[in-house]
Amino acid sequence: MSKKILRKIKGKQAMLIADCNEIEFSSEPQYILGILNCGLKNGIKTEIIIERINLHARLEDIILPHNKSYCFLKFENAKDSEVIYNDFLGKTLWNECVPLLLSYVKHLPQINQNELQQCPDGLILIEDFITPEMENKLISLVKCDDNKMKNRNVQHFGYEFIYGSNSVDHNNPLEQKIPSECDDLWKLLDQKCEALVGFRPDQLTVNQYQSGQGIPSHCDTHSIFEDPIISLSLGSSIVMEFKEPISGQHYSKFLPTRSLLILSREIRYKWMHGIVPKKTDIIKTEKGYLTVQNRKLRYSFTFRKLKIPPCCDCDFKNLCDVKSNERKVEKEYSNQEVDENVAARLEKENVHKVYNEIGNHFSETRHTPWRKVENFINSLPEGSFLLDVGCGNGKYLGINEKITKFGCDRSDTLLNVCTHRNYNVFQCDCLQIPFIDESMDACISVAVIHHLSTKERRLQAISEMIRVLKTNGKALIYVWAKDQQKDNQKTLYLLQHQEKNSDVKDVPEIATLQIDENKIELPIHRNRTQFSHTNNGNVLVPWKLKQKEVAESEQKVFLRYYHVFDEGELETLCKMHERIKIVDSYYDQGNHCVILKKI
Amino acid sequence: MKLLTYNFLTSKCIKKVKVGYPLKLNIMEQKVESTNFNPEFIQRVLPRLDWSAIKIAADSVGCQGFPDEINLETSTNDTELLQKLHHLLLEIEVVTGSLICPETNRIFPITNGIPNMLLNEDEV
Repeated sequence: MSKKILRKIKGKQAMLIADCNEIEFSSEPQYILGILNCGLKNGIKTEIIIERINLHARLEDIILPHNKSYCFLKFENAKDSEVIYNDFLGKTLWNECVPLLLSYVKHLPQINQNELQQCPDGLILIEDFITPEMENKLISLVKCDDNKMKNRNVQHFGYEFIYGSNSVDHNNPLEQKIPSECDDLWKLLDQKCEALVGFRPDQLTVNQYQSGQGIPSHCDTHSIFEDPIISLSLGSSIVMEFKEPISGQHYSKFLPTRSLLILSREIRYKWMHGIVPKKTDIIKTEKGYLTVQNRKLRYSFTFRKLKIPPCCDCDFKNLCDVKSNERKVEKEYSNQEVDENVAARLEKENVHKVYNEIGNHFSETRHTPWRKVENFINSLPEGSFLLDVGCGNGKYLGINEKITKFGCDRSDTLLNVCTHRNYNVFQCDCLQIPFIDESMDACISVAVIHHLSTKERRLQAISEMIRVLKTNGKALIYVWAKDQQKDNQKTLYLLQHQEKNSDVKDVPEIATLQIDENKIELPIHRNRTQFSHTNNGNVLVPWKLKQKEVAESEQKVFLRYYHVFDEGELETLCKMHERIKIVDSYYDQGNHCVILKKI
Repeated sequence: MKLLTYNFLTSKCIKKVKVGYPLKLNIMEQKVESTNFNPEFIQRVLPRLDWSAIKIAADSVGCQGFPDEINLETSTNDTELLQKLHHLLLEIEVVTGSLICPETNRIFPITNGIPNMLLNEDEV
């Protein structure tokens, strides 16, 4: 072994010891062998490893810690482990730059693989449910026509499954009923599954999967199908992946050909299932070692029974379409802050442009000043100078005749409204206020900072207000709160349920925005509901532009970017500045609010 | 834009600009709307004014008779000066024109009475 490799191994061992407690390495062969520099995080090719190992030895298990760049091979005995150690050490199996660094492991602590060990509730697999003859007969029924989907061929019987809305129209059954050849299946089901005696589905979806095709993770719409959903695998075996979105738990199930999968209770309502698009699966053989199996052309026959009328009273709100108003969806967003390089462009497209477009309609809806903001302005001493940062249509610039007021905003449209009202305004970005230092007695910023897409930018907006304030000057800041209910009192925003004509009912859950070369995914908020997403508070809020000449269905929907604030988040941001004192902080009509004083 | 607003505007937000004040003022179109003269208001405003900016403003609109220096103690009782300031700061509206950074000569246009102080991404 070269000195260089040895040195690298020593380094990696030290890192692993720091990373996972109680791990113990050994220089003597052990039945566990660690690959110290390859894992899920850096794109390990498990298939290549397993195929190569299977030439010489038997691999019982491969332990892949979540989001780590190392993994562990578990052999039946230390002798097999030694063979592989000698074969693999320093070799490059798929990436010329990454020679494998290995070490025997004497003791391996519990590893979090996020992999559920026991079978989730409600999952039943009946192997060899049908004979090979029946399998052939069923496959011959399916003539795949032109109804091509993106990733696979599909055919419906009984009722058509509509993919856009994930629903069926129960008033519109298909002429093509479930083929009578399937009748034999129900006799078998009665015999083989006591719990499902008498279950007679009325809808069948047949999918054809080429090797390499898969299906995205999904949960069959709760309200439209009965419990259970059953699915026959024909033509090829496959591994199906199950995921529980709240805990992030994962479970894989090998579905051999001719087996019947039954999804009921938790696995039906609480879990999502899908198939990873790849050409091979790693499976455990009967003798208990891992092997790589090629996928072949596979058909799945998924049988469901419609619920008429659609309804659901499950206990699993998370994925339930009926309880969508209350649910908290944990989506697979990046869950990170918006990238600093994208932030300015995102705000340009999804804040500035939108306000210019919707400005006049928006202005019509913004006429009543919030009482507490009005009180703040009226409390300022006579002769004070006030700057409204993000003044919009100027609804606060007309309050208190005894003080001098200036307003600034980004939007041309809204500033024009202000000049018609004879207010002193100028156009700028709240990140660069073109006013001299220490010149104002007070600043207000109402519903502005929540349009900034990174923490740095939100901080800078507050800094700028502090800069233009005189010593002892006060600033009032309002931002939209993630929580739209306080002490069980719903805010006006929630109570005005679907009454605003700017509200939008039918929007997708996620939007993918193309910002230069970057694609970012943001959840879309449903108007007049609690903010249910946990994407660090970053959401898009729709606005439907009301135009008199335009028909309801044609009216354009704009998506405004918001960062909705957690409780305490605004105070924390303010406190990061020197020279200020927080005078008051409160919750007002769905907003978090702070009054600060420059000291 | 009222010239009271002009008194507070700066281009210091531009990268590498140190003071950015007072801005040069170029007026293409202006209008005058008389308002009630309130001497106490002007008296209170006096200490907030930067006389270098006021001189530029007065020159630009063609208002005569502003002293080179301001003495706060005497000026506060100088009714003639207070009236002139009232006219300059509150009655004149700059409709079209531009503001110019004294250090970089970056032009900020004024259209429909609104100065556009927006900066490009590469200027900040």
